[in-house]
Amino acid sequence: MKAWATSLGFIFCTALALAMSVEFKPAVVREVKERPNILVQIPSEFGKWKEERSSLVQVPMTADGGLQQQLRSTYDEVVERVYGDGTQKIMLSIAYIHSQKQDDKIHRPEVCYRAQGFKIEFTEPHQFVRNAADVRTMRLMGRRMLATSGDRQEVVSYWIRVGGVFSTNAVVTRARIFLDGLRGQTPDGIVVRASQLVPSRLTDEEMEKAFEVQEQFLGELIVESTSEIGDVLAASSERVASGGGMAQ
Amino acid sequence: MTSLASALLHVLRTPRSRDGVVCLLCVGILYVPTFVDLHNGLWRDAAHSHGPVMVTAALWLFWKRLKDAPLILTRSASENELGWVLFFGGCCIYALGRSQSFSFLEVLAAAPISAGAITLLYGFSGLNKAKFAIFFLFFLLPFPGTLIDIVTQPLKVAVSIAAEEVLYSFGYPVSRAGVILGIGQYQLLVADACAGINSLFLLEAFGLLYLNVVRHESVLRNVIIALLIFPISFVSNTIRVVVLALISFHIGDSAAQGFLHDFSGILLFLTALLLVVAVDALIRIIGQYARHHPRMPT
Repeated sequence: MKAWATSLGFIFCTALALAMSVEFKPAVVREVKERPNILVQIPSEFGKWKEERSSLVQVPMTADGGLQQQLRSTYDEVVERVYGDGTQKIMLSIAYIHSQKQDDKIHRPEVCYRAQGFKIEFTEPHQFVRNAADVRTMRLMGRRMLATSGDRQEVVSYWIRVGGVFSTNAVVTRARIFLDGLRGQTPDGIVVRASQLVPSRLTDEEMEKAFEVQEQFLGELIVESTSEIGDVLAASSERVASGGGMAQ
Repeated sequence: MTSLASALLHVLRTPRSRDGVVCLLCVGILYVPTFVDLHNGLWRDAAHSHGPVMVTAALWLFWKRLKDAPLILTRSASENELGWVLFFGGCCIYALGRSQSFSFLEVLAAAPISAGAITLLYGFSGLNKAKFAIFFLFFLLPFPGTLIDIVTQPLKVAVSIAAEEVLYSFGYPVSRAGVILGIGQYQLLVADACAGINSLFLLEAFGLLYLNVVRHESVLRNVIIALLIFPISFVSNTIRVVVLALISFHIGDSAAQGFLHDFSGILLFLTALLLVVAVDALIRIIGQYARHHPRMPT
């Protein structure tokens, strides 16, 4: 028996590793096949906003300059549109992953903008207000940022939702996905981003106003969309209840 | 045929070599699926396309380092403990990574697993022999994209600036915004294919491999070359971007695209390898000169 001890040890460890790999594997959930393209339902007209054909170049959603190939392989669905209300234009970019795994995580807009040569002038957490419930529960946490590249300047509002959690921190998001995975769940993940070109000399007041317009725009988008889309964009209260607490 | 069978039988009857065979089988069961998954997934991505080359290099290193090492029949208590802790711990990390599709952890686990197995089979002297091979596994790690971007971003910007300066000094109409380089009517994005961590990684890995195979005695020289690989990577990437820009400008976009896919990677690699070997030779010459002329004549 002693002569076999080492071999048996190797076999035992390997078998244990294989068993644990299978045991902790999250069920590949979500109705991915039933709803292959949910983002096409995003209204092209809501409130005073209307989709426009535009030649505005948007900063891609991935860090490599948004070569279509990587965009497709990173996200299940991507929507990039420009909306206008007659006086101003807002660029809307949404990228959706049906089931988040570690290997294809949502890219934070800060990373994408920097990759395009933008300088992030500031980026700060912001709580987007859709209704009174948001204020009470501290939901819909995202970020506001200002990015400049040469004479191009953009104000950007975005949030990232992973499962029932709004994430403002990449490490927290990753840890969250990991812990969810160990409990057998793969959350979906989405980044919702509104951005606007602004003049390079901008007073604080004008900037604040631009951010507020974006916030209204995003709020209307959620309210005017179907509840299914609203849930995907900003999580219904049921999803938050089942998805657990609030990431900081 | 019978001789092969009897040889196999002999191996299986000898306790330690039997353990070795079992160990290889176990590691194979764990890692063949991992590499198949990576091959069908992450390695298709340009940023990780160096994976298969690295695996081959790592396997070759292990074989080279251990082929003449003697298996030990009895282990000391500390060899026993460390070996099993590493092997078992590695298996746990592997399971975490594999179950969560977190290939970084999955591949990371290869280091403790191999270190543990080698300690159990070859003892501390074997571990010592294989330490470079184990260290080399570092280059196999598929780092998360966000991390890669953070590391390579300064490199991309630096390469863009340098390429702009070079082209400008030759009178070309260039402009740059961040990592986007404009030349004439064309725009180049110094991002995905250029100056990525894949090239940096590949260069660093093969630079180290070169040093290890050439086996320099001098630690100082090894360190110098290992550090020089960063500027070398910078220089060769800049050359690549400049060549790409010139092709776009003079021949056209489609020619540049063709070059990008077929040849620019090889160019980058060859430039870098030449630079490594040249720098190494230069250091050697300087070293010899210093030895033969210990003091400057007064």
